[in-house]
Amino acid sequence: MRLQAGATAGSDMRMQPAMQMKGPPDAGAARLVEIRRRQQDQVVHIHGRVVDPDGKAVAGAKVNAVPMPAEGEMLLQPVALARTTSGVDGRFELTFRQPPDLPRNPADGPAVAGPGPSSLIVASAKGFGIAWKEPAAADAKGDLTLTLAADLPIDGRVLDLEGRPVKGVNVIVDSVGPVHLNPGAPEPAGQYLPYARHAEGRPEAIVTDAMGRFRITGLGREREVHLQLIGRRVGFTRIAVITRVMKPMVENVGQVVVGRVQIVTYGAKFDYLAAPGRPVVGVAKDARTHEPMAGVQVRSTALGLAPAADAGGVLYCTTDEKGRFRLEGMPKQSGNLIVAVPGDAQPYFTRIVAVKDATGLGPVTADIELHRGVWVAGKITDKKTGQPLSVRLAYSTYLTNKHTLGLPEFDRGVGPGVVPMPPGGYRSAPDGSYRLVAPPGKIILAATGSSEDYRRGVGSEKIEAYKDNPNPVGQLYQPIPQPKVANAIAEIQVPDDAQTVRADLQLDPGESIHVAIIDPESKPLSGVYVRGNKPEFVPMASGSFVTRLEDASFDAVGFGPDDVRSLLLRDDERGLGKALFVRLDDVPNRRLTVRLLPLAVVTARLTDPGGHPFVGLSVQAAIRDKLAGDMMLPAVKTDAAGRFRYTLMPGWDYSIEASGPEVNGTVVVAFSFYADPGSTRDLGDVRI
Amino acid sequence: MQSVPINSTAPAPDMWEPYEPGGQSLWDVRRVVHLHRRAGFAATWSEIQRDLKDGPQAGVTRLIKGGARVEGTIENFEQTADEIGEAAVLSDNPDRLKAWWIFRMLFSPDPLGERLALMWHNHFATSNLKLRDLVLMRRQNDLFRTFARAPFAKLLGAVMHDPAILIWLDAPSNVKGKPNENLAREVMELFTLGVGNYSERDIKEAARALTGWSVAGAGFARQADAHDDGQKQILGRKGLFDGDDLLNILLEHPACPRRLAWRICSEFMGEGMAEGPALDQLAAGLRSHELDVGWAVQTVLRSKLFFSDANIGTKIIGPVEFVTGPAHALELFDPPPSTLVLSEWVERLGLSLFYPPNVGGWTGGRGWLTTRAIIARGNYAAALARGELSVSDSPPDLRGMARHAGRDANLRDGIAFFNELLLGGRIGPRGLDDIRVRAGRPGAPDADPLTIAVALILASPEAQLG
Repeated sequence: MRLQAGATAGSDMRMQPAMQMKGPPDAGAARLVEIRRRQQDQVVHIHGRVVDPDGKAVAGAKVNAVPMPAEGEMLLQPVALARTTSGVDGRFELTFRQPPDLPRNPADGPAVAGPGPSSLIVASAKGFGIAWKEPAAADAKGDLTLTLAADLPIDGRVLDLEGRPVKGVNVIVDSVGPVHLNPGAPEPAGQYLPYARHAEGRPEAIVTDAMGRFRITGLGREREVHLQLIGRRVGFTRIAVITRVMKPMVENVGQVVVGRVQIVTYGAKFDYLAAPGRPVVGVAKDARTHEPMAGVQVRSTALGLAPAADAGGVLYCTTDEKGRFRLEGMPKQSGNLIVAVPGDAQPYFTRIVAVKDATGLGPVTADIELHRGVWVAGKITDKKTGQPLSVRLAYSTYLTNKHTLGLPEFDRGVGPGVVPMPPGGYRSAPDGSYRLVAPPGKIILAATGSSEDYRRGVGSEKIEAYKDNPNPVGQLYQPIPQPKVANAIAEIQVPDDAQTVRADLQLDPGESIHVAIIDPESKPLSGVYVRGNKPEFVPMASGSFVTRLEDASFDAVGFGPDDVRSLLLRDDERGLGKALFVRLDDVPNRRLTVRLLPLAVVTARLTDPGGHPFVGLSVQAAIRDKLAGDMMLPAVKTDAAGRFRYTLMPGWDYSIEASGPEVNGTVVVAFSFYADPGSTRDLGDVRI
Repeated sequence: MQSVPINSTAPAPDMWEPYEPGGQSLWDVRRVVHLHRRAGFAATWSEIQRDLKDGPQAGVTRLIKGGARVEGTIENFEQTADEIGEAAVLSDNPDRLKAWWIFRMLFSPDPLGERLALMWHNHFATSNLKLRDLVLMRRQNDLFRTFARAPFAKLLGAVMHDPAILIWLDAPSNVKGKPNENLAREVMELFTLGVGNYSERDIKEAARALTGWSVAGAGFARQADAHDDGQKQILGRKGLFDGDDLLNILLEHPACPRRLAWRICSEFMGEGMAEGPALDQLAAGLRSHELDVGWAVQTVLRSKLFFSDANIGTKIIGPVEFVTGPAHALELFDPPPSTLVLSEWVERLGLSLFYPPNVGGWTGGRGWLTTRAIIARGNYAAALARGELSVSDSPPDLRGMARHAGRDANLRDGIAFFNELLLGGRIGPRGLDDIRVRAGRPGAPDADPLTIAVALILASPEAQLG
């Protein structure tokens, strides 16, 4: 996770992928999933030890359990789920109620597996850099060791564009994490700790002195720290620092249409030249009655050319009884946007307003007119147990909906039209209740839970818009609820004279099939990696095996009556595997025994017609079966000699393709290749 | 300077005879203010008093040597300016780069150096509209500064071997067999000779010589494959010329010093003040001094012609000088005005730094005084006098300044003082009376009539000329 200069890039929300599990199979992954499942909405008891970099116990360290903000959420106040101090032997105990796991964002891409941690345990002690881990990192006995880091203070100085020190700038630690210098490289081991200021219980902000200086200690040496600078005299900005003695590093990422993209990372001692800020003032009113609206939160949502998400909700204020607001610290530049978020009891649409940049540094005015909608309220529950669920909610409506046509909040401009949503979107409360603001007319409401166990797309089969197209762009406002992602989808008619429309949704856990795994000698087999045990929406093609089974059996969950599920089982250590397609009707007693067979291996060398090897081509195999749909195995790459080695689940006929810019797309390596169990076959030189 | 005979057996009068105070041509506040408004970005009262006391030689020498400013400069100026420039480039926000240059103009100890950099920016007018690369724009700007007073060959060579001009004038697409004439045309028409001193054929041949000059990464590159190494005939000379040969041919051409003389006089002399013989003589001097720009600038600034009555108040002040000059003269040092805001005002007055309107640059002169720009000048004058240019809204202590200069702080004396400080006293008694009446009129929006008076002085017709 890096910051981009000028663009003030790097939202907290974008950091979340880095906190989630990625990459190769991990022995702890299955256990991690289990721990998460156990912890969901449950009381967690964590115990452990705080040690220094040499492994010696540290007494008197502060240990806090802190919640992780969900996508788009903003922690406005320092919070801790629990706090304690380590004893003389460095030991601590914490008990807290685990918040629900965070639903992953589809935009995070298929490389991210599983929900992110919803809390972290953080330790700090004077003279050291903080340590943090997620509760799931505890060992089998629930013991968590937090190793404090050696420290190197950050000594910064904030200057204005005239080179003068700026006093009174709030410097807020936004996140701390491992050093990640090359954005193209894989994420380093470890996680980012967002909102470190909350985690450690440090003052909300460190304020620059008369010389513009500030010092931050306790974040650790050799770490990447993101800071926010907020002040009346300077425009809001985010900067990246590495706690290392070094000069600022400038990385040219490339040339784009609007200019050069550069990333700047400062060393532990640096000067920062801050552009001036200017206040945005205005009045929020009801668009129809022109009555002023109190209690409307006004936030920055885009700063200059930085993408909206990068600045989301950073600066905020609330309208007074006369609807007036004054948002300080907006950078003086064109392209700023603010968003007005109505209060909890105000059935109005969220509205984004562009802020014009006039000459000078005086306040700029951006009045806001808000339009009223209709409350849509209800409860989200588990279909089987009736338990309330905290889920992410979103709705769309038809582009032809006449009730949206005159509303600037739904203004389509030249784009596809976007439903106005509050920052962070809508979520149901722990008791399952929710309330959102929608326009009259037909809306499509979708609920997506954090658990991966529920069926997806339930209800979409009844909606005309999805009949021929799972993603009916051109019919609906964005974001369009995706049947492959959302668990429950319903179309609702919202009358234009209604105060509130009720709509309850249920998430369906579906049916389970108990799967037992045996080896070729019919012995139960544990420690196998599995894909397809849950109704994942991540395409098989790009995913990897992340769930390792501790036992020799498991439940494949979330089956609907007509679902066909690809189930992949693989044990590389023992060279065994199996791919199969499972349908409820085929397993009437809901019990299935799967015998793994020796994996098949195919090798080849890919060259051009002149015999020169293709290096780094992506090679991917797909099962040639109508049930397989889009099921492809994870890709491999050709090496420096153009060779690849592909391990295949035995017993299927495969097609094998290679792709990459060198071959202008995708070419067929083998149209039909049967993978005999235990076979190893070399296709020799394949000229493509 | 020695007189240079031009096509005549009788010695021609020396048009650039040095100025010596005396008679009708006293070394007074008017002339000191004139010097700093033309050759720098105005002066504070103490700087004016210093030069008044030390005489014109010392005053001009300070400007030439880059040490004219004693007030408002900051410690480690170059280091701070570098930091600001670097941060501006990294922000990739062109407004920040404009602000950086304004910072240099306001706080550099060498205002003449910045004036010359501005002159060269107009001469080699390159726009970021096409480049979209602040690294290159800043690098070119630094060349203008580094070689501002150097022999012109050094500046021309540096600029022509720098990616900014090459990209701007399509050098990378000028290749053997498919010449692109843009760079060849402008190097002759704008940079060295001027229209009428070359033929279309010369341009075609010059373009061939320049084939292969290109950009690789962020630097100059000679691409041998793309170079046309055949025989060329340029301005009557034949040879296997390449780009460097072309530059030498142009530098040796008699039209080159005249073009340079014209450029320098356009910058420092009033409208119609240096034509014909004056230009010819300066051109001849340049030729005999190896096109030494520093020599020419010094010659102009020390001349009787420069300090003559006819040359004072006969040049329309450009947007940059109009905005930065009074900010320095009124000692807006602590807090300083926001350079970002000043560059916005410069733009509102019609000049967007790093974005000249075309290859020919800004024509300047009367073109600056559009109706819109005149209104903007008035508004800027008011914002400046009211102290609305910094984050903390700090009005200048006008009465304190007047008192510090040993004047009474009443309205009449205050107006007289600021007329001297800002304009060398060029507003006459009737104009001053008018300002006093308007500033003292009840119901004026500002509490202090002197603030209104200063705004009126800066918005006066006299203030538009320097």
